[in-house]
Amino acid sequence: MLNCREVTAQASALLDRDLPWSGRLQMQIHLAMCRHCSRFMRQLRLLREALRQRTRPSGIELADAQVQRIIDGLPLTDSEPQPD
Amino acid sequence: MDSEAELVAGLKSGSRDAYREAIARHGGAMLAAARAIVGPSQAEDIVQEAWVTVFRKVHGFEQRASLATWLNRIVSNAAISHIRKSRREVLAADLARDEDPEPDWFDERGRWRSPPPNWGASSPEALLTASELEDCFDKHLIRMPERQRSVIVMRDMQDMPFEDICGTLEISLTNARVLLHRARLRLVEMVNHFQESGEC
Repeated sequence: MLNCREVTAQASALLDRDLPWSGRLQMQIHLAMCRHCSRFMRQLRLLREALRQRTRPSGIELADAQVQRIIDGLPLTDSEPQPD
Repeated sequence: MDSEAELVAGLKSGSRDAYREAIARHGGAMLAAARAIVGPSQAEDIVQEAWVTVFRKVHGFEQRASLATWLNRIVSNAAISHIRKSRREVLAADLARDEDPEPDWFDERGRWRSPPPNWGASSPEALLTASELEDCFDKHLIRMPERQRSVIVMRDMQDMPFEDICGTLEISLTNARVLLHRARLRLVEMVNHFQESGEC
């Protein structure tokens, strides 16, 4: 019978479907009986989904100077517009 | 340039204005992707390198994917390739850095000392509603040991198969799984701490 520490250690493998059927079965039996491990498993799954769904790319916006530096590093042939 | 098709056409023609607009529009997301993989100190160089690749390859871009997706793939590949090139032999010190102590969650019989804190969120959207928590994710990703960060970004954010992750980082499948689990535990602890204290 697995204890909570062992279940937690194998939680990622269960999430990634990397356990053999016997391991999955042992995990499922423990999870059905242990609400703490069951909560931990839900949190791990939630965390993975949150990472997958992160759509806000850290809210980073490049400063004009950063944009200019990138442009200066490109072999573009058309000329910069000249000031009037 | 209103539409993406016009922007791509501008990039293909080498228009400076098109590049300026595309970099302003997508450069931030590319910088975030690069930071997540290589860390903050080298991310700008990676983005610069990615735009040179964009310049070379945009003629072959057929818009089967969106421009944002294509650019993200280019910058991720540049970052991953950078890691591969700079990868040294794994020394004992590197391994030790990846060895996090196991969280002290269990008693001597392997049972939870206290229940995992209630996160109060039942969906990923709800979990990320707090913008502070979102910022916290970034901070903790950046602070992670390099290989843990690479594995969790590739697996959980970019959905790469383990086989590709192992090939890219030149690590065994067992190591990849261990690094991924440690990285996830770090983030679980981060969310636990945030939920309890409201601080990152």
